[in-house]
Amino acid sequence: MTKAAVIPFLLAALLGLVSFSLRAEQTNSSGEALQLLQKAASSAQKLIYTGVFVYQNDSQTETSRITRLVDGGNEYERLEALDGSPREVIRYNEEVSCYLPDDKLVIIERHSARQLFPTFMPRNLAGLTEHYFIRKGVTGRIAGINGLQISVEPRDSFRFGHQFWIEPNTGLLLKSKLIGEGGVILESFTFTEVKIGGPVDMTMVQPKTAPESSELKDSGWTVQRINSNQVRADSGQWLFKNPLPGFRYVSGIKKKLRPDAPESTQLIFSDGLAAFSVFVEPLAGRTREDASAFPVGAVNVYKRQIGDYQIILMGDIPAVALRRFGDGIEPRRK
Amino acid sequence: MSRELSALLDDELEIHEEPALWSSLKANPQLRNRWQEYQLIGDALRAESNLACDITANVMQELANEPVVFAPRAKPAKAWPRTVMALAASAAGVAVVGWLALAPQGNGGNEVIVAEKTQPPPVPAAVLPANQKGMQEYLLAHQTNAPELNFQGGAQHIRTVLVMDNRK
Repeated sequence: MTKAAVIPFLLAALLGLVSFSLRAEQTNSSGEALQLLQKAASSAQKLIYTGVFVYQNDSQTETSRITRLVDGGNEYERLEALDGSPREVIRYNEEVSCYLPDDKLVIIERHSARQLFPTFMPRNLAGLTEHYFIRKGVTGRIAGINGLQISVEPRDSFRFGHQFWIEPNTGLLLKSKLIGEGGVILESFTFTEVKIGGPVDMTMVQPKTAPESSELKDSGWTVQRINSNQVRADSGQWLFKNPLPGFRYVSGIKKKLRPDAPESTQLIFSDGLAAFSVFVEPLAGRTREDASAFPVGAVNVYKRQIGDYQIILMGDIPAVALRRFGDGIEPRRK
Repeated sequence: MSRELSALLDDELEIHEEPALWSSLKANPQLRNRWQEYQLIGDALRAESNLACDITANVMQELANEPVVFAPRAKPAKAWPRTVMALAASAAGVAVVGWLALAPQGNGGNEVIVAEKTQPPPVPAAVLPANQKGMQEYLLAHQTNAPELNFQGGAQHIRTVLVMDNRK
């Protein structure tokens, strides 16, 4: 072998050595990044804070105030839109109420998160490395607070990427980006000011744009309740012939999404970070439609009808992945 | 022409001058002989006595004696120059090393299989106009019950809040 031919092999060997040490470094970095993600996931339910954040997707920007209080084991949250029409979301443990004062409408969704996902977070976070490259980045300053960047890149085309900036001591998520194919930022969330630890009192987590819940009806408000019952998917009548790698069935819920609508079954699939819902409803006299795909902000929707059923898939995964899964849904033969 | 020949031997010939020299070498037996002599001198100077013999005539004679085969043959793949092969080998080495570096860090190497190579089929162009109306209940249900975005606490409902404004 001539000298010229030897050089590339030497280079390869050298690169091998460099990469080997890089790999060790990365394992380290990946472990640290996972730890911080776990911290963020577990502290999301425990932290008390108030702040203003900016949310942005491809076409919209919205500034909102968020206030969180944990008191006597109960969680209270208030999310208030500061731009556009006044809207508020109030969460009290498992009950989420959306107030639309312009329409005098409140939609109340009650879910049993603790029963549905008792061990979802953060135990399964370690499994994320099967489907994502997780790396620790540099420290950045967001809303006056130093946050450590964690980059989460998909290993395949069935999910989106993420970037998180997390305050390392408390685990508070300061900033996040959802990244689509070709590095396109699909949505971002950034605190512009935040006060960790409060002080936050009960008055700060009550709705401001609506009367007391006991007076809602007398004040002309419409209260739309969505009550849900947990169901088992294995008793379902559907087959999922195009499973997406890494996404597993998490839970199923049966409920009426609207008082005038037939009961809907929501089946949730997740890879530990991203999730999509499959809503199955009887057609119940609805007109026949061709399959359609469209985004609702950063969330993709794929709608199709199978026999006498309408199926709506929704989630922050690529449209092609959603469609692939949706096209593989078939009624189970009795 | 012998100046060019000498320059070629010394690796000093301009690349654009080479084709003309190759043509001359092919056409001119005297030039080929001179090339042989130059090589011989070079070999002698480097004391490489094993190359100090002209085997051209013998090789040509053997080639002439080879039977001619008229059977059709697939067009041979373009032979890659040796340096390109070496580069490719090193690139492959880098790729393997890179793959090792980026391979799953978790429990065992079998996770690589999970990264599926097949691309899902593209979504057909027939995408209907966005029908965000009537989606808010689904979105609320999805955001409330799907375990994603758990890092965000209450901010997970921001998407719902946004769609509620859109319906106007």
